[in-house]
Amino acid sequence: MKILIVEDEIQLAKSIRQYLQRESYLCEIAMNIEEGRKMMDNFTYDCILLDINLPGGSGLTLLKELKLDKKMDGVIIISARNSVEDKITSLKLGADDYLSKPFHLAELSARIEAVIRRRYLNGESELFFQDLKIDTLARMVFIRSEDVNLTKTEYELLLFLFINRGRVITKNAIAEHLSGQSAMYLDNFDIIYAHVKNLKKKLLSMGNCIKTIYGTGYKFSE
Amino acid sequence: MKLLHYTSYRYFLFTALLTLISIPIFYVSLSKVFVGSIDKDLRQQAREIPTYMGAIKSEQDLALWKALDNDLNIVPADSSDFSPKPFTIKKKLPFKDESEDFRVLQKQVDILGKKYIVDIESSLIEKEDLIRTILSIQLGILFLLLSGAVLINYFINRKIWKPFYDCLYSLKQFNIEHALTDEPKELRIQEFEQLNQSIHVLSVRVHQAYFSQKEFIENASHELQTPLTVLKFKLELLLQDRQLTREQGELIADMYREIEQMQELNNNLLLLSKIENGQFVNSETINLVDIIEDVKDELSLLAESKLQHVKVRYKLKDIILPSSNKILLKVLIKNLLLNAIQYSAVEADIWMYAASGYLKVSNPGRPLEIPEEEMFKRFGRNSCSQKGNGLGLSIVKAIAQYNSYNISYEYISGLHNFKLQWN
Repeated sequence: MKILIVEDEIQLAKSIRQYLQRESYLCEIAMNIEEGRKMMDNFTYDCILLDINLPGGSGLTLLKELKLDKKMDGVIIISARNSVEDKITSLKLGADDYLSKPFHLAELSARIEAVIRRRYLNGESELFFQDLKIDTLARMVFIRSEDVNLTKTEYELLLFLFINRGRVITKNAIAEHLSGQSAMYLDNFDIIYAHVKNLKKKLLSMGNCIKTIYGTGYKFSE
Repeated sequence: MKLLHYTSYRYFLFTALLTLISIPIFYVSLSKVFVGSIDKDLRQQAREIPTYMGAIKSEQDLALWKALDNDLNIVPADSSDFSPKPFTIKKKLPFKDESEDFRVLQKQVDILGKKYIVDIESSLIEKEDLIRTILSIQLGILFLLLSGAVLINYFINRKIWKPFYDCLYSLKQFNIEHALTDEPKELRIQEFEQLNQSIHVLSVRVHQAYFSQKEFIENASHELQTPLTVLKFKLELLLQDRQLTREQGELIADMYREIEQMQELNNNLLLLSKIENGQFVNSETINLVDIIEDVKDELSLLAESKLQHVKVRYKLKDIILPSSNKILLKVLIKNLLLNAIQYSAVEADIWMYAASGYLKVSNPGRPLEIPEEEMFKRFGRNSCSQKGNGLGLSIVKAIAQYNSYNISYEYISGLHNFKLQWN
């Protein structure tokens, strides 16, 4: 999978690249409008991360050009928080998703995965891992074709961990994924612990696929 | 007391006092002048008596004279005291009930060889009448003068102080967001001119200071955003290291959490600046019910972590807010609910009630430890044990003001009640 990161802050871009490269993603970085335009013209990407505020103009211009060229690259807009106009304009212009800063890398990778799944798996809404099947359309989970009854929170949790499989996900990132910006108001992460515990219990027949990384968070792996 | 009333009142007191003092002085001097003139008259008559004497040739003549002249009283010299100066006596007239004042001058005369004392009398009754008339005229004039002076003084003062009141009005209207735009008017009175100039200069300076402070906060928050995000990303990457020990992992997770707090603080400051700079457009028609449901959903994990229940009642199926801003309204309601969750004990019930004109959020809790006015101020939190950055309610207030909504707080029988009113 090829990803283009159009972002003027080199440190941000590098961190994103480093995080995503652990997967099978191949990341390229463009640091301004011109560079971004050139790369988008010459190559096709599975997903483009587009910052709005760029030296030389708005990232949305690139999005417009991309759509005029009838290109099918998936686009996730990254922008400053709370600018609802940007969000609406981006989605109207045909962006697949919109992420406002600050975000967690785990969240970003979940969004990228979702975009790619939507675009390229052509309605293929089922995810597989060993005996586990997640039907993202029906929001159902099966182990060896047997329905696992999960609560809404548990389902979201599993999906988030699954998409970020192989990586350590902090309790912060999980809490924020489940509850938005209010996660920082949690006195402790007991609630996350409780949900993970319940989820583990329900997935017991899968073996220990959700590992607790003491002090930091959880990891979904074989 | 108003300045105008103060000066008018003083002026009135002074003139009234002057009038009161002047009346007895006036009376005394007037009656002195009058008595003096009567005395002069009496002396003149006394001087003329010897000329009448010549006409008295017999005892009968004397008796006749006595009988005819009422103003004269002739008694033998040995039967009465003699006083060379005129004096006042009280005498009862035969046809009147009251006694009246008379002025008497005595003169010794020889009639037919015998010594007599002649009392020349003049009634003072006219004096009383005259003084009364003069006094009442005088009082009338004084009263007219007094009221005239007070009125004139009032109107003149009012005109004089007008620039002062104008200035006061413009100060009351002063809003730190906007400097006084009109140049100060040219005024005749130097002091007022200077006052206006000073206020104008002051307002411009205050506005500039406020503006640059705001700009500073906004720039600082904006500039902090990227380094904070980079820092967070790096820590998230560091966490992926398989070699990490448990202690190292915990350290990183703690740092990570602190950075999150900083970012939230930063975002809130930025949001406040943006609201104050009017960078949001109020043009959306919003269904409050949707927003509340969204917010409730977002905060459900937080409420769940404290085993609390958020109970919402709607009076209507749809509660429509015209010309508002969805993002801001959501932030407002989220902060209200967040505040309620944070300041309620474990297992508490939090109530929200939405009607067509207002939204009420109630949560149980102990009374405030800080004054109510402090509550909506930045960093004015009730206790230090709470998470969060102390900006939540000031954001609520800023958004309410931005939308011309009214936010109020009440503590009734163990419940903290926040009420947001619109229209």
